[in-house]
Amino acid sequence: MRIFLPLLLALWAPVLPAHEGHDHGDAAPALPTAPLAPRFEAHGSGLELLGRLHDGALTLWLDAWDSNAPVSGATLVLESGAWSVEATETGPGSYRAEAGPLAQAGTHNLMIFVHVGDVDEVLIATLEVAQAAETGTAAPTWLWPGVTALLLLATLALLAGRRHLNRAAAPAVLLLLLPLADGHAHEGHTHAAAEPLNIVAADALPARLPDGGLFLPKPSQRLLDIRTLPVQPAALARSVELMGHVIPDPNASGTVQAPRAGRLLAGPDGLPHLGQGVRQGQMLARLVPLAAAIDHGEKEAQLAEIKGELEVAERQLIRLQQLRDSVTEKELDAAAVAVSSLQRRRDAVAAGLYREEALTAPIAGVVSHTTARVGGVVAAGDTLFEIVQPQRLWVDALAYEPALATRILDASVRLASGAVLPARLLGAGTRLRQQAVPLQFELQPPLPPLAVDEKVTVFARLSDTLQGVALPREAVTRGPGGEWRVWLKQSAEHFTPQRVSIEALDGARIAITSGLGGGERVVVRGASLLEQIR
Amino acid sequence: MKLLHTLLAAAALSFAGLAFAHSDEYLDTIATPHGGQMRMAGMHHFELVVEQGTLTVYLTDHADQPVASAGASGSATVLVGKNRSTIPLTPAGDNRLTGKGEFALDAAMRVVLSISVAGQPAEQARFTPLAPRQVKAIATEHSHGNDDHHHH
Repeated sequence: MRIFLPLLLALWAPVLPAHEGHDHGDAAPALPTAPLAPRFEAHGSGLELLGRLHDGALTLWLDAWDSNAPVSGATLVLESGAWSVEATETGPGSYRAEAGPLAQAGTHNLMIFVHVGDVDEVLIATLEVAQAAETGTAAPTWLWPGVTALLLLATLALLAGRRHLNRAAAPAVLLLLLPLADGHAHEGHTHAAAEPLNIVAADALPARLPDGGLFLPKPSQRLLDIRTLPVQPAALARSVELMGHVIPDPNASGTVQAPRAGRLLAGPDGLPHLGQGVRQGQMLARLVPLAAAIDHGEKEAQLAEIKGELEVAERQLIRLQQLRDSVTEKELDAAAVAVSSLQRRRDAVAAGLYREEALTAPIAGVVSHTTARVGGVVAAGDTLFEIVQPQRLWVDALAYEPALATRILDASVRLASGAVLPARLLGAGTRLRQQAVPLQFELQPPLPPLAVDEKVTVFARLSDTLQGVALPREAVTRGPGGEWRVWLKQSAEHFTPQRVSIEALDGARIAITSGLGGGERVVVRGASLLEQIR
Repeated sequence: MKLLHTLLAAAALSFAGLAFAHSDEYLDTIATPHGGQMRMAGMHHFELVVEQGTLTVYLTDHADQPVASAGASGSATVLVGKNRSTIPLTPAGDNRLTGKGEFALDAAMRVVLSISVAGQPAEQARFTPLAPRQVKAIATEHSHGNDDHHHH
């Protein structure tokens, strides 16, 4: 095992980033936990190329240097001395070529001609191939001591007596099997190269390096869809985070309430269900007014009385009409008026007793709340339906600084789901509520499905600025100590964590106020997955 | 003790890979003796000066001391867009190697030098000789040959 440590360090060394200036001493060399297949790395013209030699073939990964996105459709021609090969694309941004003479041990200088889009580039790299491992047919080194031990013990057992054989042979068999289970019992073993099996395992698996960095093989990066972004500090608008909740736009929402006590009946289309779209003026339900028993009795009596009077008046009118020649026009008119007046009184009282009232939608929209049931008895003022327009919603938020509203440039609203919506400040109240100034923001359509009263976070961008690096919120992760950190891409397969200080910018972005100097490639997608690799 | 030896060997071997101590970005910021572009190649620095039809390479060691070009050999692969040419380089006195060939002068020009100095294995370096770069007037922080270099 001892011989492996320097070997794997040497293999890793070319992957280390070239240092600026002369401060070689401070950075401890990062090392993977197992030997790696020989690999090389080159970049230029915004391209990053990683090659790996394995099983007599070269696997090449071509990515955008800044974003880490795979680059497809490239023509890659490799040359080493007089030898040349063109790679074929096996998947998006993955290429394969026969290794030819590169598979032999030694140091190979490579030129890689890359043509993609309108870019023609030549990159150089050095591939170091260690002395090849001895073939797998040779007996593992632990076998011979094991067999010898077994034979020795068997002989001893035979000498000591047959009954001791089983007891003595058991440890010897265990001795033989133990390295099998362990798989790497190579103490004191002098082969110059590692077992091919180990190389495959190490190449396939991401590994946490002793310095906290991460060795993340290209195939894993592709699986995790890692993306990076080169960062530059800039003056960023400071912002504040406010707690708020969704309210309906009062100009685009309405309530249907019972105007008097009564019993509900379904309208012509039945009672509306939640989420049903309704037109302005559409009948949602009918209300049959309820009257107290005594009121009802009085009304019935009044009606009977009016009906009686009406009958008398009608007879009187008929009689007068028969005597038309002997009565005055005035008497005739008075009788007719008395009849029509009594008819109207009868209708009004009857209507008050039995009339149904239509409950209509005051505004077009969607039913967001309903308590109506057919036959249900409601009191005057009960809310039966609430109607909102889902694309016209506001946010009501609380600010603890009265002058804040005057410094707000614009705002964004982050939902619990993580979605971020643009918003516009409407205004601030001048009366404190819960010791805070209420602010109202208008959400800019199109809006996703939102619920009234949903809790949201409002990020208000202010007119004052701070110096920092703006990054997507998901670029920042929590380190083991709870500290904020980002992941930097140091080379094609080497990532390191970096502690940072952050400030909220808006719903989707945060500002890194310290920890990044500019020019770093920061992981902006998949950072939380990197954090989980142990 | 055995562990200490192992660690020392490990450290030594890992620093061997760190001979690439200057990034290309850094080298592009320093003023070069002949105004060309300088690159690291193994234990040497190559400085490439490109003129119409002629390539001149100046060999220096890592402490910027001239290295005699006698006995050195190599070639330059020039790529301008899709046009590629290979130009043999021959010693031309002092620490110079020159080669002549046909190539267009273009900002997209790439040159890969592969030079074997005094029988050593060939060393490669890639140049973007005509790409715009910013050279610092005085490269004070780049002082060679001081104590920092004993690990080479």
